[in-house]
Amino acid sequence: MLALGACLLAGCANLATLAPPVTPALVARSHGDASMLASGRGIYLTQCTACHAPESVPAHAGKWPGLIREMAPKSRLTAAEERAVLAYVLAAEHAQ
Amino acid sequence: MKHTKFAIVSLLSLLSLAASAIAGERHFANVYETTTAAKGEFEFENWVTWKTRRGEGDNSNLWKFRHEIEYGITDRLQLGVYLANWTLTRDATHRNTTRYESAAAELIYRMSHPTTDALGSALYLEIEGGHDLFALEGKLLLQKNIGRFVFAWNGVIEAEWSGRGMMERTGTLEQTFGVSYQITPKVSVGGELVHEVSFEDWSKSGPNVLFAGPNVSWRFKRGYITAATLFQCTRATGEPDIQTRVIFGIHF
Repeated sequence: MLALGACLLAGCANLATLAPPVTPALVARSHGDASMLASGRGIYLTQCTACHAPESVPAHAGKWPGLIREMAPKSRLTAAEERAVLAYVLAAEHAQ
Repeated sequence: MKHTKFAIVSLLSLLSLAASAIAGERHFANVYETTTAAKGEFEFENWVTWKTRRGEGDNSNLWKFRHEIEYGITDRLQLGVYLANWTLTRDATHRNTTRYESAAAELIYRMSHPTTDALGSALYLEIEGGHDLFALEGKLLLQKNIGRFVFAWNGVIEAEWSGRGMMERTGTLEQTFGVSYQITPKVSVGGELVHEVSFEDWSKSGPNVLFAGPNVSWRFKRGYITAATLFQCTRATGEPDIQTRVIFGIHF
């Protein structure tokens, strides 16, 4: 049980590194508002992980516009969802 | 011979359909995951299962086929319709027999997400009917995605009425477990376990049967192919020694 709990906690911590949480600093860096960024992060972690493990947002800095354009149809994102995800990853790609 | 040709042509047609169309994702062949089709999305899945027994006077091969269409009613609720479940059996005398078995419908409701929640969970209900066959099956699906790993567990309870007048009653308790590791965004490998025990007339317990083996899944454009080979780890007679399942799916 302890090992299972440790794995679950490690998973949660790892998620925050792969997809940085929406903070006031992140919102200030973005072109969207907090709710749009939170929505984008939620879509990134749910619909984008239906087929593959979550990719590290900071690790692909500079490449996100092209990646989102390629992946949005595969994830069946609406135009609004695609904008929200793009706003989030552009804000989070340089997060520490 | 006519039945064998029909089965081969049908299988090749389905394979060519899968190769020319675009498709989905599944990490396991014998374990359900908690993720469901997106709202409004259709998925066409084809299952081919080969089971074989090797023993004194019992060298038999059974091929089972299932063809399913899944539809995302909402982002959490998925409907599946198994258009046809059928079998091709080759007995020890190399005689082939093809038989239509049943059709079925299933509902899967996702309660929590395996990535963003502490534990992903879903409820599964299936109703199946055919010639001299009626079955109800319920499952609890649990899943957790951690980094490149996917862990999934299913707890299954099934009740089946079969035979003339539906007088034969069988209950089955089953649990399945799978682990998958993503090598690349398109390829995952892992292993699966299946543990089951049947109850004749819901009272006489049969032997515990355990299967285990490796799996591999490959995701491409809008489709996927997932395969697993399981070996019986117990010595239950009447159960297959080896079973291999291949599932190929298409999203549209």
